[in-house]
Amino acid sequence: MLGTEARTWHGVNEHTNIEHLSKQIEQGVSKHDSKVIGQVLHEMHSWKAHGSGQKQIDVALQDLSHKLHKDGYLPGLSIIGFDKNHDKLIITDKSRHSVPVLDANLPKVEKHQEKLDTKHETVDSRQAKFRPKFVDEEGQVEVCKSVFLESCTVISKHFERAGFSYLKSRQICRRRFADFDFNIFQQAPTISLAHMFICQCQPSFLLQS
Amino acid sequence: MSAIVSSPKLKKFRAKYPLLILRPGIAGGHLGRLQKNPSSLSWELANPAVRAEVVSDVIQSIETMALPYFAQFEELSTLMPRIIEDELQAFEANDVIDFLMCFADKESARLAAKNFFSRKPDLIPEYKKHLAFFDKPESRQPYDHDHVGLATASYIYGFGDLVNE
Repeated sequence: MLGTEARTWHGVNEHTNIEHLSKQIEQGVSKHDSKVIGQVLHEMHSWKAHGSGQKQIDVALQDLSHKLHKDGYLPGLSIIGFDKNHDKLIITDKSRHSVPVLDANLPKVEKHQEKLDTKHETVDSRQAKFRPKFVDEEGQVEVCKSVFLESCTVISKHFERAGFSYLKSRQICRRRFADFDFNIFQQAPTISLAHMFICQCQPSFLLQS
Repeated sequence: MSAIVSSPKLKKFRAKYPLLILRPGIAGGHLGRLQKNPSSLSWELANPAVRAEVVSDVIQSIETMALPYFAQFEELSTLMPRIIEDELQAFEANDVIDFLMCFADKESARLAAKNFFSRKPDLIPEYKKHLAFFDKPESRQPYDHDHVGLATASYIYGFGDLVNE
């Protein structure tokens, strides 16, 4: 194991509370530090592992929304949750007509964003100004995506030796035993959710139409 | 990086109960959640100079965290008593109950649910609140999360009230 050089560990504190997370969010947003925001999301998700209720997480997400709005991020949109594997943020507009998913996987972002745009144009064209565009990030994202897929392939091939089938893309490998399927997959490419989150939330990107 | 245990058999089992969400998932999640002290883990592949090293660490982490987790499901005779008495990381209470109903029996499932509330009595009020929803047909819906999911289980599997006997 390489420890901190190769990986980032975010220790989970059972006593972590909303106040503590709010401070972290504030710091993360003000410094545009994607790692800090990512850590907050991870911590919030881990509350479930400790038996915390959805209500507590909802309150924390509301708090996150407020702080981001205050700093000019995600105008007109609210964070309403994240998926079970906490690599996607689920956001909605005020009209509640659409519930797009912000995902660190670019194709999904584009797909869901198209839906969002269509809805917005149908429901209220004025909200089109909130349409995010990956003007400068596109090329960089594509490079990262290919690195991600290449790395997944290396990992997949390694586990062929452990009896797993080699699969492509994000589904790294799978093995069937009796009535069970064991799956290892990677949901987000090298660009972390938090990094993408920061990119998407930059007002300069949001306001280009 | 996630490691998930699923079962087509469990999905078929869940299909018998309209109040259960039709899904094959049993247990697992992000690698960091599979450990006794859950934590979040991430790897940065952006730096080409250390990428090979990072990939090697991902592989090692899968070997030390995911594969032993999967192995537990290959030994059901050891796993069953453990999840009846105690918790297994990244295995939510309602999923434990569905699993035991599908692969063991009602008695084991009910005992596991009772033991869950013995360990976490602070979750009882919310369980009872949701259990009351099942008194009226119009308020019955698939609560599919942990202790709240146990309210659904109590109703559909006929456990009765798990905390008042």
